[in-house]
Amino acid sequence: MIRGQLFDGLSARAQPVELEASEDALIVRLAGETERLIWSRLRRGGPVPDARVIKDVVRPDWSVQLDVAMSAEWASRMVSVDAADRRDLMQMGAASMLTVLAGVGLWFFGGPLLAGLAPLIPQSVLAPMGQAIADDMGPVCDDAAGKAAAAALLARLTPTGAFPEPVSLRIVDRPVVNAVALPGGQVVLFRKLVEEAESADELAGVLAHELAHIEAKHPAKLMVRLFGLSLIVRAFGGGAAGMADEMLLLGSSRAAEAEADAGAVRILQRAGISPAPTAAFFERQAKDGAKRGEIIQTLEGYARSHPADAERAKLFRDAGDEKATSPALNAGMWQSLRGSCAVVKR
Amino acid sequence: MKVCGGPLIMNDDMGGSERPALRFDGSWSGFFRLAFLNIILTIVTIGIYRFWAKTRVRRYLWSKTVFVDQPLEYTGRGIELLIGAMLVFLLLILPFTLLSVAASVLQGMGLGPVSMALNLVFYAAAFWLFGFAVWRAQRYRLSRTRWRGIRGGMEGDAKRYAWLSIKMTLLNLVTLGFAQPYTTVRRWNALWNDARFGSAAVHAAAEWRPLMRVFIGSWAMALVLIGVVGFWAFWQLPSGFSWPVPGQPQDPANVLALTKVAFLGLVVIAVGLVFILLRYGAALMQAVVAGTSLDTLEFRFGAGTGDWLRYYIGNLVLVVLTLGIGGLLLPYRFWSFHVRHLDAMGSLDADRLMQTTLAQPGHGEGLADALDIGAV
Repeated sequence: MIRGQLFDGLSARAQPVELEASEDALIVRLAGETERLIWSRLRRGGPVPDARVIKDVVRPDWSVQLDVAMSAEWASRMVSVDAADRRDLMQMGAASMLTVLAGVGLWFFGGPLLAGLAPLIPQSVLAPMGQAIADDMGPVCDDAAGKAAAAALLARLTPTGAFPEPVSLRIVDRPVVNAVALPGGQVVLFRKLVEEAESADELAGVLAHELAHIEAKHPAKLMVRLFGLSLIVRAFGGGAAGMADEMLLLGSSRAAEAEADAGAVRILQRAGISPAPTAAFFERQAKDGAKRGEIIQTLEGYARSHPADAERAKLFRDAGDEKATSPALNAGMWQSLRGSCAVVKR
Repeated sequence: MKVCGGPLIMNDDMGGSERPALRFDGSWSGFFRLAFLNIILTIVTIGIYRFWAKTRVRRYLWSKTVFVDQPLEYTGRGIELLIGAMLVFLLLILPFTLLSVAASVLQGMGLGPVSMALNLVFYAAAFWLFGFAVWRAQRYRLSRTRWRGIRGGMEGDAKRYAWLSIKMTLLNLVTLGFAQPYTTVRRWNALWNDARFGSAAVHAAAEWRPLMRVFIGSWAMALVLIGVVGFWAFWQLPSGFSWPVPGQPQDPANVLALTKVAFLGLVVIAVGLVFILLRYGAALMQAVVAGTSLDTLEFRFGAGTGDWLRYYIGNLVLVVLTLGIGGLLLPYRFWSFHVRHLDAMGSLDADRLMQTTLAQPGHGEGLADALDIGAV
């Protein structure tokens, strides 16, 4: 017989009880009343040599605290509270398994899935979104002759029938050497980029890169990715999953950039513009990078979203020409394009 | 201290030799093993394990927290937190995301004002939901806390607290933050007045006026500090010093002297402000806990400015010296700091403390999780 205190789950009172084991049940004697509890409904709490708690699966709030540790014989008749939590383990295992399966599935079939989903977003949603993002990027360069020159360059790279969706191009008055392709066929070039380009051919190369993004539906795919998988991952996986998602985004972005470079070469060749001058542009950027130190640049190659400038330069230089080439714009129009930001619309 | 039936006698002010009513028996090595396993499993399962990880952490902390003679018991389950997160995803995150997409589409269509109105609704809703989440999370945790077989709960509903929370946020805005003591105390009182443990009600009637004096005093101290340091800095400048004039060549010795004095001054001010803030934080915690009681039990929170300073510096050192790995112990330190400084006085009649009649919510705290509320 073991003495203990009973908490009946109805009040906080501790009631003195005497416990005795029979073959099939635990006998609980409380103030003259006797209750027989079959072993299968009881659970023991605490580590085995020192298990002092008995719980009842039928009454979760009910428990007995033993004055001394229970014997090994008693302990062997009851399942441990932790072991009894098989249901918890099953739920956890199922949730983990499903998550990992979904992760593996997306790893292999995520690309085709994105390619299938991206065209489903209507242009009427994508175009205003791209417009809104572009509007937030800064004041638009609005010189009439500059706009005409930009339109001419765009028209040469996207001949009617050869490009899947309408593209609108703008130059934004910001001192940044960069260009972006946005959802809905919106392409933005920044002023400093136009200034750093030494010929219309160089600029055409960068523009062709952005057009290749649009041709491959990269912005729409990124939208699906961000509002689909990223949202789910961050909602359920928390901070750790958010970081993993970030890494994956960076990785897929590098793949997309390489694809866009290859596409840019094709667009230039189709338009009869030589890809080689674009190589010179990337080489100058690489030289600027080298000033910051070799090691840092190599590290950057792993961390950044774009391939390293030197690798890109090689791709464009080795591409060669498909047919007779001519400058992307005549000298006069190139000068007009460079002067686009003489007039700025705020 | 009687344990069997009848009133449970807590240590009162007079009986200083008694054991504290609340005790924390955890060990940091035991917790670290748990937290380390948790983080590994969380990474391996791409994050989904974190609901079970959180549950295991709580089960550990609760079970090592002894009130009078019996430990607390945490009865929540991982799946409940997962279901909570799923509900929040479907009912809130998804609609809100669609709404924000719609807002940017509208903006691109040239309907700027409509988009702005939509965003405004979005932010107002977020503020409201914050209060809602705080209340709901507390209800979940109390309903999953058991002591001597008795469970806690929250009476009433979260909407009232959410509205109060919005009102207090607006009041803070209008008063440029000077209503802070008032709004914090009102939020605390509203939140804890709804709390129950078994048949016993929590009564929260913390006073904001004494706190306001500390708050104003803190401002005064900050201003005096900045004034004194500014005066000292001015004094420290060398005799030949002249203020640099923009566009004219500057004497390097002058610039060096100014930089040195400004740097020292700013460091002194920063350290002083941290101290002043901690002093206010300590007073706030002491005031709200002292104003809160459970039936006939009164509570005290003993941590002063120095305790908080040691706590935060300890956290910082722990994380920095271990390159972040020690961060796994932060929930442990948070919990043990609070339990060790919390004391209860008076008596509680265990015969009269009956089981709660409040229904248990079926799922937990998805919203608070999404909004990243709570330390444990």
